[in-house]
Amino acid sequence: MSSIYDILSIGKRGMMAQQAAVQVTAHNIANVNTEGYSRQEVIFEEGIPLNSNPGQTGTGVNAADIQRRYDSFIEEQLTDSKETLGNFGVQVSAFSKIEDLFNDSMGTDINKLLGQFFNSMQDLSANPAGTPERVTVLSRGDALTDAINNIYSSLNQLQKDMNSQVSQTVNEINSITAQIASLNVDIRQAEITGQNANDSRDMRGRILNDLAEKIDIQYFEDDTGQITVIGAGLATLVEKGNSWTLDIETNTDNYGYYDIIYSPDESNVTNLTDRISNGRMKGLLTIRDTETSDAMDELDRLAAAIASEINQIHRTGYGLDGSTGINLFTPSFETGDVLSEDVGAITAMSTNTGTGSVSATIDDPSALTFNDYEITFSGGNYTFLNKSTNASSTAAYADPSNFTFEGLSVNISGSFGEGDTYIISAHKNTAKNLQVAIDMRDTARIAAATASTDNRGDNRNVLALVQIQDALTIDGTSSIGSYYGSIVGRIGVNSQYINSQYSAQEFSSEQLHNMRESVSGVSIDEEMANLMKFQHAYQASARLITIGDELLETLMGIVR
Amino acid sequence: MRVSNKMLYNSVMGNMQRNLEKLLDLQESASSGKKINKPSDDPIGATKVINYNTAISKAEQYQRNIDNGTAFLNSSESAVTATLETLQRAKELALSALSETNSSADKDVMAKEIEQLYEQVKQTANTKYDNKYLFAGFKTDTAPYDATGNYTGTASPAGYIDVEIDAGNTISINMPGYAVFGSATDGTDILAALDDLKTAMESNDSDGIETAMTNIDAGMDQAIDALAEVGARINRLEIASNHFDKLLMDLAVYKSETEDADITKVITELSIQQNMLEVSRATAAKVLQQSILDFLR
Repeated sequence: MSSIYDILSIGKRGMMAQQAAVQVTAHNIANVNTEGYSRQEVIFEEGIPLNSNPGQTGTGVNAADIQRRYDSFIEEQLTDSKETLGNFGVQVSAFSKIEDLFNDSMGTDINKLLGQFFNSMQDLSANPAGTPERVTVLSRGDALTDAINNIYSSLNQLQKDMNSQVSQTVNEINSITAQIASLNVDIRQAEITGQNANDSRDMRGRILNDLAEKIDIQYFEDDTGQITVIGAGLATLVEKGNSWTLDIETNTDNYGYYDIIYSPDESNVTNLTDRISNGRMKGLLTIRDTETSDAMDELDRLAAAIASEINQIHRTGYGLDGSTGINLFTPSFETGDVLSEDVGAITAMSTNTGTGSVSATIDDPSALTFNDYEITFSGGNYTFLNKSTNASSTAAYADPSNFTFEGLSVNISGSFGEGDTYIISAHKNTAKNLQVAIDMRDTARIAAATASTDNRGDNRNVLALVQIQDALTIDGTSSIGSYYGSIVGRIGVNSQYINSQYSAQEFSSEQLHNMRESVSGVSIDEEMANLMKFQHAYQASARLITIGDELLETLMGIVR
Repeated sequence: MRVSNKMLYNSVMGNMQRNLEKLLDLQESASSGKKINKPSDDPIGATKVINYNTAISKAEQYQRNIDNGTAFLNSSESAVTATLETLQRAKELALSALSETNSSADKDVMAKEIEQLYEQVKQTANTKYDNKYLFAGFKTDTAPYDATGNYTGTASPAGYIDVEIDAGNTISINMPGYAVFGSATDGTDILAALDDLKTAMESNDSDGIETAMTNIDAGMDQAIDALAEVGARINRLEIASNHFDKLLMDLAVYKSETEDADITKVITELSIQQNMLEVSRATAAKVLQQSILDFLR
C-alpha cells in the first residue's frame, strides 16, 4: 500500500538531495581556481524500497556520499615532476648568474683583460724604459686582478646565498611536515566516522607537492588514510600524526657550510647532505658544493698560474733601478713560501684523531702543478696523493719526516691517528688574494731587462714574460687564455644541459597538470549545466510536495 | 577528453609564455646582433669566440709592434744610407789626395773637410729616434760614440732589441753601433779610419792615406752589409704586416660567422613570432571569454 505521506517524504528527500548537489556544485565553482582542488560530486542512491502491493515501491533518493574525482597515479607523477622542477629551477637561475659573471659582453671579461695585460707588456718591450708603458703594465695588471677578485667574490657570494637558502628550505620542510602530520590526524578523525575528508586530502596533496618541490620524497597511505613520508630515501619525516624535523649543522670540512642532519632521536643521527637526490635542496647543494666551488677552484688555478709563471720570470730580471728578485704579483709563489690562508691552504679533516702537525712550503715554483693533494696516515705509513692525477708517494712515517712532492716540501711531525687526513692545495684563495705587488710609484722595479746596469733599452726579460701568454703552463696542455676559455665552455655546457632539462621537465609537468585537470579540474560549463539539472530536479521535488498537499486536501474534503 | 576551465587557461598561458620566451630570445639577438648572448647559447661557439678575440687582440698588438719596429728600422736605414754617402765623399777625397796634382796645402784643406765628414758620421751614429739613441744597443739613454769617437754602447754580441712579431717569433728592431760603425774591438772602426785619413792627409803620408782608404772601403762594406740586413728586416716586417692584415680580416669573418646573428633571418623570425604571439593573444581573448554563462539568460 502506498501512502500520501510517502509522496511527501520522497519530495522532501529529493529536495534535500538536490540541495546537497547544488551546494557541492557551488563549492566546485568557488574553487575553480584553487590549486590542487579536485572537483567533488554527490553520489545519489535510490532509497530502500518498501515491500508493498502490487510490488516494491521506491522511497526516493538519498545523497549517499560526496566524492572527489582524482587519479592517484597522476598525482604521484606530478609529485615526482615537482622534485625535478625544484632541483633544476634553482640551478637554472643560479647558472644564469654564473654565466653573467663569465659573459664576454660584460666589462669584467677576464679574457679581454688578460689580452690587454700581455699587450701592455708587448708595448713595454718596444720601449722598455718608457714610464707610460710601465704605468700601463701596472694598471692593466690591476684591472686584471680586480676582475678576477670580483668574479671570485661574486661566486663566493652566490655560494653563501645558496647556503642560507639551504637553511631556509630546511625550515620550510619542517613547517610542511608538521602540517602534513596535523592533516593526517584531521583526515583520520573525519574518516573514522565514515566521512570523506575530501578538502583535507586535497590540501594535503597540495602541500605534499610543495614538499616534493623542496626535497625528494616517497610516500604511502595506510588503511586509516594517513600518509607516511620518507625524505631523501631514508628519513621518515611524517608518520601518522608525528613529524620529525631536519636540522642544519655547520660542516668545518666544507668551509663552514651547512650539512643537513636527520636525527629522530639522540642515538640516531644521519647526515643527509649527500643522500638528497632531488628537489630544490639538491639544486642548492649542487650549485653550492659543485658548480660554484668548481668555478672558484678553476679561477684559483688560473690566478695561481698567472702569478707563479709571471713572478718566476720577473724575479730573474732587473728593473731600471737595478733591483732584481722582485715579484710582479702577490701571492708570490716563491721558494720557501709557507702555505697558509693567503697562499693555498692546509685543511685538517675534523674527523682527525691525532695531535701531529703538517706544514708545507713551496720548494720549487717551476714544479708546482696547482692540484689538490691529500695526505693520509694509515698503518704507520703516510700517503701523499695528487687528487687530480692520482700520482702518489707512500713512505713509512718517522717523527719528524720531510719530503718533497711536485714542487712542495712537506713537514710532518707528532703523532697521527689511523686514517687522519689533510687536504693541501697551493692555489686555494689565490683568485681572492691576487694583486699587483709593485706600487704605481715604483715603476722602475718592473724587470724588463736581463742586465743589471745600462739596461734602458734592454727588453729581453719582458720579451720572455710575453711568451707566457701562449706557453702551455696549466697541466702542460693549456695556456692561460685557453684555460679561461675552457672554464667558460664548461659552464656553458652545464648551463645548456640544465636549461634544456628544465624546459623539458616544465613541458611534461604542464602535460601532467592537464591530465590532472582533465580528471579533477572544475569546468564551469559543466557545473552550470549540472546546476540547472539539480535546480530542475529540486523544483520538481518541490512540486511533488505541493501535489502531495493537494492530494491530502482532496482526501480531507471527502471526510468533511 | 574532459576539459576543465583551468586546462584552457593553462594551455593558453603556456603557449603564450613559450611564444614570449622565443620572442625575448629573438629580440635579444636582434638588438645585440649576436646569436651567442651567453655561453650556454652555444658553448663551443662561445669558446671559439674567446679564442678569436684573443687572436684578434694579439694580431693587433703584433701589428703595433711591427709598425713600431718598421719606424725604428726606417730611421736606422736612412742613418746608414747617409753614412754611406759621407764615406763615399771621404773615399773621393782620399783618391784625389793620392793623385800627384794635389799639393800638401790642398791636402790640408781636404783634411779639414774629412774632419767635417768625421763629425757628420759621428753625429749620424748618435742619431736619436723617439728620444732613444738608435745605435747604442741597450744603453738607449747615452750617446753610443763619445767625444773621441769611442764606442760606449752595449758590447758585442749583445745589444739587439728584439720585439715579438708573431707567437714566439722575434725580430731585432735596431743595429747596435758596433755592427754598423764598428768599434775598437769589432769590425772596422769607421770613425777611427776617418780620423786616420785626416791625420795622414795633414802629414801628407801617402801610405797612411792608402791604408785609411782601404779601411774606409772595409767600413763601407760593413755599412752596406748593415744596410742589407736592415732592408731585409723591413721586408720581413712588411710581409708579416700583410699577413696580419689578412689574418685580422679572416678572424673578423670567422668571429662574425660564429657569433653574429643572421639579421635577415632574425628579423623574419621575429615577425613570425610576433604574429604567433598575436594569434595566441587573440585565441586567449576568444577562448577565455566564452562560457556557458553567455548563453544562459
